[in-house]
Parts: sequence; C-alpha cells; structure tokens
Amino acid sequence: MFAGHFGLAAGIKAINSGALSHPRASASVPSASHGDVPLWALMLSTQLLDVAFVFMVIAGIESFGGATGYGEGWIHAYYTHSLAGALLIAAIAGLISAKWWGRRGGLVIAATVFSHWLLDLLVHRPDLPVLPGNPGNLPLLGFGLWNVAAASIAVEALLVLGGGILYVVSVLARVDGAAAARPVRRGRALVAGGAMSALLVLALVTSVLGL
Amino acid sequence: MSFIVFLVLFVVLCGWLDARVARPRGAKKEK
Repeated sequence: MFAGHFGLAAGIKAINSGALSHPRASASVPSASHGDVPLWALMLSTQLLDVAFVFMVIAGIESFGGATGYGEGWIHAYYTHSLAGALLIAAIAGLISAKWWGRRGGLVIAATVFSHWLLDLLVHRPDLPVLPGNPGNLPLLGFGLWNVAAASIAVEALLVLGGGILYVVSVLARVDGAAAARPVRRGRALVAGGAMSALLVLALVTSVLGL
Repeated sequence: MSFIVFLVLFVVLCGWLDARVARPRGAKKEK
C-alpha cells in the first residue's frame, strides 16, 4: 500500500496549499504561519509509521515476512502500528511540526501521520493491535482488503490517480496565480507535476508486481 | 528496499521540485 500513502500525501499537499480554491492567494511563497506544510514533510509523515517500523526491525523488536507478492506479506509491528502507538507518533510529530509550521501545520502533519494507520487498517489482515505490545491479547484489527487483491489495487490506484491529478492541478494553479506578480516559470510546475505523477504510477506498478 | 528508494525520491526529489515551484528564480528562501 505504500503507493497509496504517497498518493494521499500528494492530495493533502494540493488541498492544504490552498491553490485549488484560491490560486491567487497561494501564489506567493508559501507562508509557514498559514500552515502550508512543505511537500517533503507530508511525504515523510505519510510513511512515518513505516520509517519507525524499519528502525524497530533493525533493533529486532518488530519483524516482517511472508511472500513478496502484492499484499501477501505479513508484519509483526505491535508498537509502531498499534492504534495507541500510531496516535502517539502522530501527536509527537504534530507537536514538533507546529514549531515550524504553526498550529494548523502541526494538525495537518499529525493527521497525515495517522492516515497511514487508517489505510493500513483497511487493507491489512488482522495484525494491528490496539495497544503497544498487545497486552491482554486484545483482538487484532484489520479489514483484510488484501484478501481481495483487485479491490485493494483499485483503492490504491484511486489514491494514486486522485492525489496525482490534484497535485498537478494545484501546482499549475499556483503558477497561474503568481504569473502577474512574480516571474515563476510554468515549466517548473510541469516538471514537478510530471515527476510526481510518474513516481506515483511507478510506485503503484512496483507495489502491484511485488518488487 | 523499494520502499526506501521511493521514500527518498518522494521526499528529496519531489520535495525539491515542489519548493522550486513556489520560489521564483533568484528569490531567497523564507525564514
């Protein structure tokens, strides 16, 4: 599902920049005081749980395995991917981000971090605990959309295409809105939008092929 | 492995390209 997470972040950037609704208002250099979070931070946030997971795997605390095909693997991530753990990581990321991008920016980052858990809840087979370490052996969560690969791929493709289209429209709107006041080149927007779209599609193909 | 490669590409490459869209040529970064 990693392509879907990136697609969602691209869509959040498009909406949060304000370019879709008020292109001229967002035409100037993005203002941190208005909570316009940079794209890199959103991309990192949407995968922050998996970044933490990688470190936990290296530390030998969490693990993964199974087949390499689409949605055929399993993870044992009882800390980074527990409901409480995800909320805690999102809250910490949001609090730290608020120092740079204001209260609204912090909320956007926290929501983006937690969106990862929600999307995982949709596709994972039940392997997401409520509490870190799953004390008391509470039921594990996961709606298991990966069991119906076609449906899971369709959802992921929707996130990728939707996010990519919204992002391209938003960067072009930013340039159009700025044209009268600043010598922003439309070519930069096309390169940024093209790179984003190409990477999103490539990530989806890679994910589906299990590469 | 592909996760890490794509993470770097999206964060570094797309992040840099997006910042260029917002910043006119020669303009200094907002502090």
